[in-house]
Amino acid sequence: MAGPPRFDFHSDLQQAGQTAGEQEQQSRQLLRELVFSRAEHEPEFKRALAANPEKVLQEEARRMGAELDEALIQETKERYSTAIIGASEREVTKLVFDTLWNVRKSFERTLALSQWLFYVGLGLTVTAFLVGVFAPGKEMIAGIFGGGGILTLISYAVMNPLDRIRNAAANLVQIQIAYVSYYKQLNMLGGAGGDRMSLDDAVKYSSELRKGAVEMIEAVQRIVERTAPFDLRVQGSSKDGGEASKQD
Amino acid sequence: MVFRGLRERVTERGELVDVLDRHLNPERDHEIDVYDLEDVFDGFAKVGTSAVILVDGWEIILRNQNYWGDFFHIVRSMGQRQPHGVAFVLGTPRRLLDLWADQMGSVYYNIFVTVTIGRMEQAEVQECVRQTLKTAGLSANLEAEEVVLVASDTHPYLVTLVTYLVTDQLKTNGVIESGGISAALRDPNGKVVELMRQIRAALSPTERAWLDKLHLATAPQKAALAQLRDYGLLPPGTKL
Repeated sequence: MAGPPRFDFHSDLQQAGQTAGEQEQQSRQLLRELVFSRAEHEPEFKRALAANPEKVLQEEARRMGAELDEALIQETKERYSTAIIGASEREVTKLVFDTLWNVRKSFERTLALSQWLFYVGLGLTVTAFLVGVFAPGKEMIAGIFGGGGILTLISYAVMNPLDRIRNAAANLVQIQIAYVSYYKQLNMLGGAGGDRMSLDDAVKYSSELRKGAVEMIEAVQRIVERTAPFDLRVQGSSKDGGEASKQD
Repeated sequence: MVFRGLRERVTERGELVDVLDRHLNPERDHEIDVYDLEDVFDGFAKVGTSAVILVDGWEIILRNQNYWGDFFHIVRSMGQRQPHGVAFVLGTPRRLLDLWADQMGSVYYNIFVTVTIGRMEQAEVQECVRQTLKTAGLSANLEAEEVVLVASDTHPYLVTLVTYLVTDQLKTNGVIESGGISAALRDPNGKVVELMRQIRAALSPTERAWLDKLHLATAPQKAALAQLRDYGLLPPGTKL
């Protein structure tokens, strides 16, 4: 009958595995601290890290015998931007997209104001009509309301807010195209010091991107025909004022 | 550069030197390119001596996207030329097919024969211990074989390491001290912990998570981990 094994190294091997796991955790933390500390004190290292975080982190991890995890790569990418060295990726993204957000907000306000103007004019006219019909002797009030409403509606028609809104929308789209293209170019050219993309390639791709963005903007301009904002001087002095404003 | 280095070392066979001189002559009118390499290997084949290129850690090359595409096509085309003037022997922690991604371009892996070296058979371990003891001038020792079998979990690296430890103890003290072997296995700065870390580094994050929470692993997860044993990627001592 076979007895229990004379030697048992199972617990030793398990202990070794546990130690390896603990060392892995520690080395991961050490790698993180080392990389960010070097980036803080060595501008060249920081630039290389921003240009190609995967490669630099892998080299550092190999040198330390540590394991590189995806979370550190992501954190590095967020911390060091390829677009603007010195700023974090989050800051650059915020800068670009906040600008877009502001333009969009402006467009939305213009739209809301225009709608408000229309409804107020309509409301005043209807009120004047109701006062005139149902409240005899209040002709003065009805006249004020009616005059105000008609003036508002006339100004709505003359100022041509629908065209202005359409132009604002077209401008918004163009600004978005231009800004996103600019952001992409910043990323391409910002990484030129590293080896993610050669300088020639970055310039070439950036140029192609710029051409594409310009073509797209021109297409938007063709689709949404721009009209000039209301200007009495242009309206009164020349018939080709609209054409002139298209040159803007 | 590699072949010029080779040229400096090859002194025994005149034919090989001739082949290298003919194709790697620096006075030729162009830079050495892949066609010159093909000519070199074809030249080797003609004189009946193939070059064997050994690459350990091939997965490191696979991770570098600069190699994707043409490089693997070249590996494939060179490996298939007849008669064979070159042979590639690649060391990877997993099968080449498992490490391949379609973005790599060439399906180079299917010109390779896979030889899996994961765990050793019991008989192989015993033979290894016998041979080592014999080489060290010691007689066969059943206790040594048992210690190596248990302490190594039949992992090739540990078989070699524990066999060395046991042989050393027998030569020095004449007896096997299990305490010394335990200490070597547990040593935080030792080779076993280093091996465990290398194994863990070769695992995917999911596999590592399953391994760390083995008591929560489901049957399919345990089955997936059991397959790692075939590649030597299950840390020795792991009981599923």
